[in-house]
Amino acid sequence: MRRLVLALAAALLAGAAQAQSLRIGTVAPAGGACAPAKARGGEKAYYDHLAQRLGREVLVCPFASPAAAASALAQGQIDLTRLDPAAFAPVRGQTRAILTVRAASEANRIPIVVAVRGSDPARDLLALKGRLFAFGGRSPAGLATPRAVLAERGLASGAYREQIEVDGDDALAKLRARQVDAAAVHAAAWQRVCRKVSPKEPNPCNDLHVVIRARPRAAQAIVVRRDMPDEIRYRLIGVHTPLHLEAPAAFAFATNWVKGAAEFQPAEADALTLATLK
Amino acid sequence: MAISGSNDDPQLIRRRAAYRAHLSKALGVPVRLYEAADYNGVIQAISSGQVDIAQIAGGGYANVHAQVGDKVTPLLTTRQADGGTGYYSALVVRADSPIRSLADMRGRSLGYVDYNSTSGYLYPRAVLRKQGIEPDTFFGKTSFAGAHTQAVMALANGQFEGTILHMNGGDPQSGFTQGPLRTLAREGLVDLDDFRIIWTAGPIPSDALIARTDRPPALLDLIRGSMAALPYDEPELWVDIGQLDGSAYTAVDRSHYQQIIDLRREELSRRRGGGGRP
Repeated sequence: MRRLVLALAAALLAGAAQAQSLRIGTVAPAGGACAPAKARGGEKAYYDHLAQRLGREVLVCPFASPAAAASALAQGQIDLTRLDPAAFAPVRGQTRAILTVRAASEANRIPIVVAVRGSDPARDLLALKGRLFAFGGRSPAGLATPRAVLAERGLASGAYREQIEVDGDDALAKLRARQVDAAAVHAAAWQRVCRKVSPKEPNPCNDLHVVIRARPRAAQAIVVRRDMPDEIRYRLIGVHTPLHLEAPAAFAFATNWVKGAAEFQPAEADALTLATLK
Repeated sequence: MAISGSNDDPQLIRRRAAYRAHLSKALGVPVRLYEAADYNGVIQAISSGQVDIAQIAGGGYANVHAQVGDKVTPLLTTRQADGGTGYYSALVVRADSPIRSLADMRGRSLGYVDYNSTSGYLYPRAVLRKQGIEPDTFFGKTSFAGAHTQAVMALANGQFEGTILHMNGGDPQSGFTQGPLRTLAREGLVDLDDFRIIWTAGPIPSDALIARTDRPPALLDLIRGSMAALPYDEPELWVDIGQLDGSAYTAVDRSHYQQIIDLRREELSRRRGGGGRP
């Protein structure tokens, strides 16, 4: 085991020694060339933390707009930047999200399941316009997140009628009882009701049809090139996820675009899109 | 990586294989799994430095901390869809038993899981004491089943009149969807209707992925990042290995387990003082 660790350490150190600088794209009206950060306070703490943990010099590369930063990232001129869905869309083929920030008041970016009775002909969300939805409770995961998923996919508040139940169990029970047309519940609530109970009951929800299963789209995310080696991507995630515990000042700077930021969370490649899950 | 092999949940077996495959790919070297026969095997393997990382319950980590302090640190725990990072202990009896409340358990036989089990020993005993019940004198005969699965089977076979089990995927108000009873029911080995929960305690801080701090920081970042990315990189696998849908890893440090560390210290001092059994 010790030999394994030494070999890994040697490989990581060798990699670090050969590594290029880490080029971070930022938005500054004047633009400019990549340069070592001349920063103070939390900004300096953040760049120093990254440099120390990754064994790389950190360069800050200013761009006039998020779109310009996105384009530079796609062309390999920088290594990471923060984008929103609009700036990400044109470079989706070359880049991917790796990190988002969760606010203290928010749930994880949990998958949401929208289901109808199997006999209902609706097979997409827009077919459910004007119909009655049941939600599983008033917690962020039970109400705010499903509402957000519906809204960003064409069913804004007012485009459907809603009934808020105690929890996901109740929402799905109301659907089965034909008291609502659809249920929008988080994945854990769905799993709770629909998971295999016993060999006699392997699929307790085979009377229901899943219209969509999707995570809420991220408002912004840290984005890298899709061809970034997993080792670097994982190390970036591994450095950022405990940042709020290890370096609070650095975390405050790195997440100053999210009110009440609580922690960095890893993200799937298409977190800035309306992708669906299986 | 060390993991307890004492819980005969097939999902745990899949989890081991999945972790090994995922980590091996991320680290670029084969990852070997050390399957300890009991909780103590994991504790000793990580405390002595024979392994680099381990998956362990909070009580097990508290025991590691008592032995080697900050030479081992928690990296990650799971955050559920509802935002919680804990699970529960439950005192379970057979449904055909006359025992209907905790008070009815006075003088009755009780099975704990393991001395190093958080939910199956450490935490419920502390809560009982807070409720004015001294567990060493309140119950009749007490003994250890060795693991949660064995505790269920021993209860079913009438070896104990009550046993302490972990419960997950819910809360005492709404019921639970995960835990050894559910696992065995899904396999058709027991019937849920044959058991009754008469008391619960929790939430208890969930299991931790812990690591030796004398390993290279880059290696720890890589491990933390690759594991944290798992529910986003491979969401189907995440659920298949027994994790609750909608849950994800979140970074933690020692402070997350301070309550458990304090309880373990208190338990150890009681035993050293000769004031306890079993």
